[in-house]
Amino acid sequence: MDIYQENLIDHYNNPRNYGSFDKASTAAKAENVSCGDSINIELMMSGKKISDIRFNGEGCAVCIASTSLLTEFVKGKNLDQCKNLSYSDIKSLLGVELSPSRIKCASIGLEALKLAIKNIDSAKK
Amino acid sequence: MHKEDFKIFKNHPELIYLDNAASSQKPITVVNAVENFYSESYANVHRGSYSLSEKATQMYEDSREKVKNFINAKNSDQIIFTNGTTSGINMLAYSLETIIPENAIIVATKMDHHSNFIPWQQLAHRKHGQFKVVGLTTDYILDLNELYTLVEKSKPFIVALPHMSNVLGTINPVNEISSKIHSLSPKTIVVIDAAQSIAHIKIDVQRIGCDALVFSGHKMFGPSGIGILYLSETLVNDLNPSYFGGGMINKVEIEVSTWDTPPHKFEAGTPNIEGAIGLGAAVDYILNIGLKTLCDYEKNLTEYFMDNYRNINDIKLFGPNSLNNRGPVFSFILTGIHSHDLSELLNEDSIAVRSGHHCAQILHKDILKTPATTRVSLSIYNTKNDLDLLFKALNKARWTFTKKI
Repeated sequence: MDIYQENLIDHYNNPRNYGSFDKASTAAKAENVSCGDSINIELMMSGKKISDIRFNGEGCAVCIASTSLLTEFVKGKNLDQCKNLSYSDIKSLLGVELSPSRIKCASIGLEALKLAIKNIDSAKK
Repeated sequence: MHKEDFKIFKNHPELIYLDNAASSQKPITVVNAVENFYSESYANVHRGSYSLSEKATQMYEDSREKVKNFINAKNSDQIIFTNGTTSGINMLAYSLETIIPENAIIVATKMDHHSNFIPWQQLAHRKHGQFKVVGLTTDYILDLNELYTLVEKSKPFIVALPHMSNVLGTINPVNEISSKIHSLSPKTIVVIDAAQSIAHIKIDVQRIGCDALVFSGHKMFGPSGIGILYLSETLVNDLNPSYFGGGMINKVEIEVSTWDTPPHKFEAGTPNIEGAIGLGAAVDYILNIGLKTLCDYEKNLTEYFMDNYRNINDIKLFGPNSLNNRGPVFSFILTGIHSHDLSELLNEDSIAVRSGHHCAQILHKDILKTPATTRVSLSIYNTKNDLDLLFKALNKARWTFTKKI
């Protein structure tokens, strides 16, 4: 199936929650060295809740759109609800099946999000 | 023009294969040569005193002779079978390690593939030497002034460079470069990576005057897992092997061993016999077409690409504009579309291209200033129609992403 549906292209050309905060609660970056894609995710926390989220970086349409969709999905959710997110959640957000070589592209934002959550956890300890 | 020689296009009539710089398809004659060897003549080579082994040995050595003639080496013992370009360069680097002085200077270029870059970088590290990298001029040509100044000043132990860039298509004037380096610094070992040029340009190692030259079988219609390391008469006799085992020794004692004559001293273990035989058939395939015919045909396609790609809006090609110093390799970006998205969109139209850094991260980072490009690379079976379909698909991709034509 054609993965370049209008929804994906729209999230690529007009990514949601794109940008950065003046002072984020936490931030983390993930990269795909093989193609140079890199995504930085910033979280604004109120207690255990992700009250707001921003992302920035460079990437292909699959990478940017996946991250854009992910930020919409996790905004307002509790950290506990986000810890176990996996590629299959990204797949349902995208609504299309990706070829093995593109799964990494779709997972960079998620990887950055998980690193950011980990930062919060380790700061507490 | 030669699509009918390749079964893959019978099995996939829609396939537009434009990834020849990564690997070429295999003609029926090569497939048959390997199959016939397995079903009619298979045995291990060397020292088998039975007929089948003698036949296999003869076929293996015949292929060496074919390669020797193909690149015009003086003797067939200068032709060493390897597993491919990467293995040939690593083998050479480890062999040179036994003679390279501490603190030596090794030179490579910003247009080298990682396989002609990292082995030298690592050798320099191991010998506490210096690793210097020559840049490019504005038209994506090797900066020869920089190279010659460096050679004259520092008298490097090794200079490694590609015959043709796997990203830019730039063809380096290796005859001139090799002789100039040797005149400035007679002892410098000149290593030419011919992986990209071997299927496109006539190679004459005596004319080039290089000390070593490497290439792979799979990029010239042959099987994968077979390649060639050519060494000058001096190096082939003087260098120590870097792989040890069966088939490469003269005498083995507990304290010490001595080596067989070249090329056998460099071919430890059972070689890729069927690969060598397939490579011989690939050489025959190219010679039957004729190198001149092949060159002219590809030049014509290159000209067609260069004349027409500009009609696509927002495309940026990285490589020489002149037809004289470029081969049929074209790397580009389309503004607004990431190269991975572009290659996936082209795949929907059965067009096979490659995207990424093409094992040339330094080139992308320092010169092209983009992490990834899309690469189209042509061969004898591609046609103008293939390119028309490519251009159409590129425009379609632009429309999908930008709603612009």
